Amino acid sequence: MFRTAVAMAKKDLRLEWRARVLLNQVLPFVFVVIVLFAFGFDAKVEILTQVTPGLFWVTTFFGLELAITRAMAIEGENQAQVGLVMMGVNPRGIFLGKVVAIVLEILVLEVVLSAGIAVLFNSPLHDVALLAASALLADVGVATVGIVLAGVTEGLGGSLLPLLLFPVVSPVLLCATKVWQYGLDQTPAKAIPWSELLIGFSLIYLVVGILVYGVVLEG
Amino acid sequence: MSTNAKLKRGVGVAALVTIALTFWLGLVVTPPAEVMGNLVRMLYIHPPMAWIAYLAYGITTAASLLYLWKRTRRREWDLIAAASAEAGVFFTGLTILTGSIWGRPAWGVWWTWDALLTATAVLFLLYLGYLALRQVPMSETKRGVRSAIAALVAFIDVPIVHESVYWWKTLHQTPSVLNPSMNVEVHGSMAWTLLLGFVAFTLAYVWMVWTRFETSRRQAQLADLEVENAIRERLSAEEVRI
Repeated sequence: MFRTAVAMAKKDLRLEWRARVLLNQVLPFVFVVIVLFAFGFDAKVEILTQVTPGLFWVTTFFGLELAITRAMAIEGENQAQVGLVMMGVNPRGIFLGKVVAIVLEILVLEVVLSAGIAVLFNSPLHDVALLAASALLADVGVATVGIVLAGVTEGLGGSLLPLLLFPVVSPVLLCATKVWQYGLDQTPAKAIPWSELLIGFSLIYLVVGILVYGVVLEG
Repeated sequence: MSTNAKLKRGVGVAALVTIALTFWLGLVVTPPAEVMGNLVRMLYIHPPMAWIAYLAYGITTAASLLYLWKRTRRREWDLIAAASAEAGVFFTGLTILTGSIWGRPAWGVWWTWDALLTATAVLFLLYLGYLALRQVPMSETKRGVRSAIAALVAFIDVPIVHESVYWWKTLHQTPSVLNPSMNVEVHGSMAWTLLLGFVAFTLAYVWMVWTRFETSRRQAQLADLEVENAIRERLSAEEVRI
């Protein structure tokens, strides 16, 4: 399973490196969203500083949704996924590989985005380790459930995935936003219960994803 | 009329009678509460509706699991899952609506971003997504498998909704009946009316799911028949040509 996962992650990351969809499309898109938020809040720095964690996570979720759609579209081309199933490749390995690839891609995006937000919204990044750990957990949570739901909605039109995905991962958004809020406010002790919830959600979604992905491929 | 149809009609009539009785007891017989006054009358319908929403999503999940498991895979499980989810969305909508009507005089607002309310709204959206997925044209097996997975993922949110009252200390009161200590905080005629409310709405749910399931099954049988006829016509046309 783990060998398949590594091979799948390497394949997805190599494809991303060659196509540079993240760099050329997703990253500019999330900055467009950030600028739109700034316009929406009348470019008032004091408001933007206050809502930075929420803006960061809503924007990241949009980016994640695009990355998940892209990761599954790769498998749809030339019926690659059907080929993998026919060859008897372990579906759990496929799933884990995709999760790893998406999480690594999004972590890169988050580094650039958080730096941008720190400058544009005047929000210095404190407790970087806490912010990074929560980002990793949230990315795992969203990527796992996202891949399952992207498999469920494959070939059924683009609007179904966000409709199914965003309500499911809303607890992750809430927890990640809270952890970032306390991290940026330099009160990390308050972030502990939210971090625990984040761990709980991400683990549940990961286990459910591993268990059901084989059935998703069948469907 | 078959026994099945008679039984279903009986459930429907019982649901109507018990709902009418709940309204009569709740609006006429029971007294106003000491603190909440007449607002308490919403208690007789709001928690039963919320209970039905949980029950409906539970049934959808159980039926989806049975459909996913190949040994028990039958069209009927998929249809029951869908019928129950439709009823669940209907009762979740009613729960939000009745809660909002209660919230206006109690809290001074129609809606507040309280954790339980928000989580219930999220639940409503989750299952709307499930129903939207079912509306997309695809083969019956594909729809069944994909919907069943979506239902399982969505059901993860149900305990979160219930537990959210305790996780996030909220404006919404803790449940009067389904609380962790199972200490029912309602007594006397009010308790009996509330109990009747639970029975009435459960009967209504059973009737709704039953009726919807039978309609869907007939639709599926009709579609099968149309396909069989089309194949038969095509085969006879081929024979004529030969």
